[in-house]
Amino acid sequence: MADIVLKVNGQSQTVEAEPESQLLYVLRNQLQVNGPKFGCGLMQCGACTVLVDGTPVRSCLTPVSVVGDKDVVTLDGLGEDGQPGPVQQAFIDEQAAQCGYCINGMVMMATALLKQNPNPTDEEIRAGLAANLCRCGTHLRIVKAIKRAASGGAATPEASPASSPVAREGAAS
Amino acid sequence: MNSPSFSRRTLLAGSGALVVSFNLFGSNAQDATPGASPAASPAAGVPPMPENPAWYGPDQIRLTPELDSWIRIDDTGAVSFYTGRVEIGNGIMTALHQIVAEELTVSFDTVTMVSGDTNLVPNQGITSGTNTIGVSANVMRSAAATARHALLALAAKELDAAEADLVLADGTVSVKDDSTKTVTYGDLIGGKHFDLKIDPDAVVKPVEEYTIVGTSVPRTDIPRKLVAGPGDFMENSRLEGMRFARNLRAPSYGARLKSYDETVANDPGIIAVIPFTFPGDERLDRVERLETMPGDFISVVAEREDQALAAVEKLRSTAVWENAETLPATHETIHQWLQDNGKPIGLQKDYQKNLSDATAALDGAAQKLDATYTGPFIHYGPISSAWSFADVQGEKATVWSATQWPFGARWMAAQALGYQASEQVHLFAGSSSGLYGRRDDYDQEVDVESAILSQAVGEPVRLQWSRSDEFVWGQYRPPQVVKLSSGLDADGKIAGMSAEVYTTVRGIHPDPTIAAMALQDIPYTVGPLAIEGYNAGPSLRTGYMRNVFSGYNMFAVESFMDEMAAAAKMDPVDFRLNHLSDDRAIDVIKAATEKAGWKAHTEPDGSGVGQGISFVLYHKSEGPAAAYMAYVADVEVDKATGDVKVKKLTCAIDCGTVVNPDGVTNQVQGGAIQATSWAMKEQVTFDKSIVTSHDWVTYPILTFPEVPEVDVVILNRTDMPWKGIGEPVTVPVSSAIANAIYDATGARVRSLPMTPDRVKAAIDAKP
Repeated sequence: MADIVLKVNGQSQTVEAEPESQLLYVLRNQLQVNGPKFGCGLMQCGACTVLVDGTPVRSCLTPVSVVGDKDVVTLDGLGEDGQPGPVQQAFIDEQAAQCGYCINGMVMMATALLKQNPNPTDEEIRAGLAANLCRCGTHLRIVKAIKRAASGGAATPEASPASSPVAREGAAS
Repeated sequence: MNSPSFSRRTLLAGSGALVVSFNLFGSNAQDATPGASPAASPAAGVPPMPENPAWYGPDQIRLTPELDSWIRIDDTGAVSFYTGRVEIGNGIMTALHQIVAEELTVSFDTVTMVSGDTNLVPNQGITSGTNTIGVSANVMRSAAATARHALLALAAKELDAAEADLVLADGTVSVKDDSTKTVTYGDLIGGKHFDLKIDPDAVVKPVEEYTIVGTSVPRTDIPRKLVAGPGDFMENSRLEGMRFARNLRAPSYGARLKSYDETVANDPGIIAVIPFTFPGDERLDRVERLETMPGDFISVVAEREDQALAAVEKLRSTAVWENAETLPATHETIHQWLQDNGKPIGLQKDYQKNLSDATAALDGAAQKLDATYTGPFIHYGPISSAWSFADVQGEKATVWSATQWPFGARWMAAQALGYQASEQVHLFAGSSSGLYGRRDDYDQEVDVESAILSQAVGEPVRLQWSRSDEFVWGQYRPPQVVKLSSGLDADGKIAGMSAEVYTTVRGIHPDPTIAAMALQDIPYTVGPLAIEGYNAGPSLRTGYMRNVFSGYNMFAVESFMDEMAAAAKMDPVDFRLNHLSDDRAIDVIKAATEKAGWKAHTEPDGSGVGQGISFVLYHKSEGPAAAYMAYVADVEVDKATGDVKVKKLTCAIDCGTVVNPDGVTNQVQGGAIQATSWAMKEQVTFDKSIVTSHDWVTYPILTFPEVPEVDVVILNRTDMPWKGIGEPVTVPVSSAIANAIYDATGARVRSLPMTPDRVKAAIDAKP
C-alpha cells in the first residue's frame, strides 16, 4: 500500500491508499472532506461529483490512480460557512434545496457548466443535469439558481411567478 | 483527530443544568402505529418501547411537563428551544423556529433550535405523518406562551407596574409611555429555571400580531448544506479510529448462508468478517419489530471503506447459499394476487347497510359506472442509501443516525446491544437525505446493525448499505387495486358509490385499517358510500411512505370523478363543484382553474394536448394534516408512442394559516414533482424470490428534462389553524395527469405508472 499525494482544494494531501481506492472514500474518510456524498456508488446519481482539473467527475468509482496529481476541487473548496462562493450563494438566494443531499452534485455540475457556457438556457441547464438525480423535486429551483448565478447573482425576472400568495381572511369558522 | 460533528451539542452555554425529564419506563407504551393494539409488557430487563406522542399534544406535555426541558434563556437573553422533532429536509425546523420566536416575542435570530439529541430533547414522537405543524408546533407554542406570560409577570414585579401597562418587544419588556422602565428577558430569567409546567391553555398571540410567522424566513439549514459546513448532514459524523463496514446480503429473501471464504478475514485491513443468520441470530432476534426481510448476511468491518468493498466482492463471488422462493407473486401478477387473496379488513362498522343502500341506489340509477384502478409497490428512493454510525463502549453507546424517530431508533439499538435501558444509548439524529418515511417506525435496522458491529469489534463502526441493499432490502409503498362503482341520476348527480380497496401489508406496517382513509373522508356528496378493504399480506416488506395509501385511493377517486363527468356530459370542474358545498374546496378549485387557464370541456379534445383537474382534501379539515388542494395538469401526448410530456402542474393549496409561504411553495413544487415521477415512471420489479429493481437504471426516476413547471397559488386562511402539507401535496398529481391524458387522447389510463406502453395500450383499446 502506497502513500498517495492528492491535490485537494488547493492543498497537497498525503494519504495511504491503493491505486484502485475510489476517490470518494479517500476524500471523505481519510481527508474528512464533506462535500461529495455517497448516494449510489455506481456513478448513477451524481451526489459524489467533484471537479478534476475543472471537469466534473463521479468520485465514487474513480480510482485515485486516475486522478494522480490533477487539481481536485470539492464543494468544500468553493466556499465556506458564512462565505459561500457565487454559485452556492445563488442556490441559497433561491432556496434551491429541500433535503439538500443532491445539491453537491448540482453545484459542482453548475460550476463546470457555467465555465463552458456562461449564459445557458433552461433547456441547456436541464440537459446538462440530466444525469443528476434529485428525489425531493427541487429541480425547478436548481435551474433558477443556476440562471441566477449566470446573471451574476441577480434575481431573474419571470414571466409569471412560481407562487402567488392570496390572502383569505374569511370569518372565523 | 476529529471529534463527532455534534459534540458541540452537548455543551450548553450558560449556568445551570438543563432539566431533562424523560420517561424512563414508558408506561403503557402505546404502539407507534395508529389503530394497532398496545405493546405487551416488556420482559424484565428489556428496554420498553417508547411512546409516540406525535399525534396528540397533551401526551407530549404529559411526558415532558417542565417548561425548563423545552426553553432555556441565558443572561444575554439568548433562547435555546429544545424540540423532539427532526429536520428531514422539508424546512420544518425553520417553521418551528418562527413559531416559537413569534410566541416568545423575540427576534428570530435570538433563538437556537436544539433537536435530535436523545439526551437533551423532549419526546415529541416520530417526525412523520404530516403532524409536526398541526400537533407538535402547538405544544411548542404553548411552551413559548407559558414562558412569555411568566416573563411578563416577572417584569411586572421588577418594574413595579401592572401587566396591562407593559409592552413586549424583541425580548425586552417596557412600561408603556415610560421607556426608561425596561428590563430584558436575560435580566429576568437568564440562566435560571422557570420551575413551571407548560400551561396548555396559556393565551397565545393572535395571528393579527404576527411579524415572523407568515413570512418567508430563509431556511436556517440551507446555507450550511450548500457549503458542506459543520452540522450539515449526519452522514458526516466521524470519530478518530472509526472503522468502515459493508454487508453482503442474500441473493433471495429467506436464503441461508451455507459457506463462505473465511480467509477474507485475513485480507489487509480487514478487522472482522461476521456472518449473521436472520432470523436466528440472537442479537437480531431480540430486537422487537425488526422488519428487514429474512435472509442471512455477512458484515465486513475494515480499516478503510474500499477494503470493505473489495472483501464484500470477494465474498460475493464465493459464498454458497441455500436459496429460497418465498414471494407469492411477481410485479406482473401482484394485482391479481391481491384480489384473489385479500381478507376483509372491516373498514366501516355499518358496511353491510352502506353496501345495501349503495346497491339500491345504483340499481335505481339512470347510469351505472364501474372501474378498476391499480398502483404498484414503489421505492422510497432516498438519494442517501441507508447508513449508521455507532460507537459502543461497554454498557454505553453513541449512535449517529438518519432516523425520523430518535427515541425509537435508540430503543431498537439498545435491544440489539442487550441493554436494560434505552438511555444507555445516546442517539443523535438530524438531516440526512430526504427519507419520505423510510425511517419512520420500526425501520431502524441499519442502526441495529451498526450497533451490533461496533459492539462485536470494540471500535466505532460506520455501516454503509449499498445502493442495491437500499433498493432490495428496504421497504416499499404497498400496492393497491381500487374498484369503484357508482350510479348517476338523471341530473348527473352521484346517487351512491361503492368501493373495494385491495392491498397487502407485511406485519402491521403500514396499519391496514387506514387502507381507504382518503376514500372514507372524501368531501363530495355521493349518497350512500360503502367501503371495504382487503389485506392479502404478507409479501414484500411494506412501510409508511409519503401519503401511505391516499395517493392510490385518490388516483382512483379523482380519475373516477372524471369518468362520471364524462358520462354526465359535464365539464370535470363543474361536475366536482356540483358535488361540493365546502367553500374552501370551491375556492381552491376556482383558484387553480383560473391560474391554469382552464378550458371547460365536456368531451376529450383528442388533439394530443390536454388538461386535467384533481381535487383532494387530505384528509379532514380538523386533522393535523389538512390541505385543500386543486391541481390542474397540462400534458402533451405523442399518440403514436404513448409518450406523455407533463408540461405543467398548477397547484392551489389552502392549509390554513401559512407559517412560511416560500416553505409551502417549496413543498408543493417538490411533492408535485416527486409524485409526477411516481405516476409516470415508478414500480418495484420482483420475481418470486427477490426484488429485481436494484439501482437507478432498473428503477428510473424523473430527470431534469422531464420535470414539469409547477405554479403554486397559496390561499392563506389566517382564520384557520396552521396545518401540515408534506404528504398531502403529493396526492392530487396522478389523477390530474390521467385526466389530462384522457382530455388529450380520449384514452383512460387506470394503471400506474403511466408508462408509454400503457398509455399507448389505452389509446389502442379505445372503442
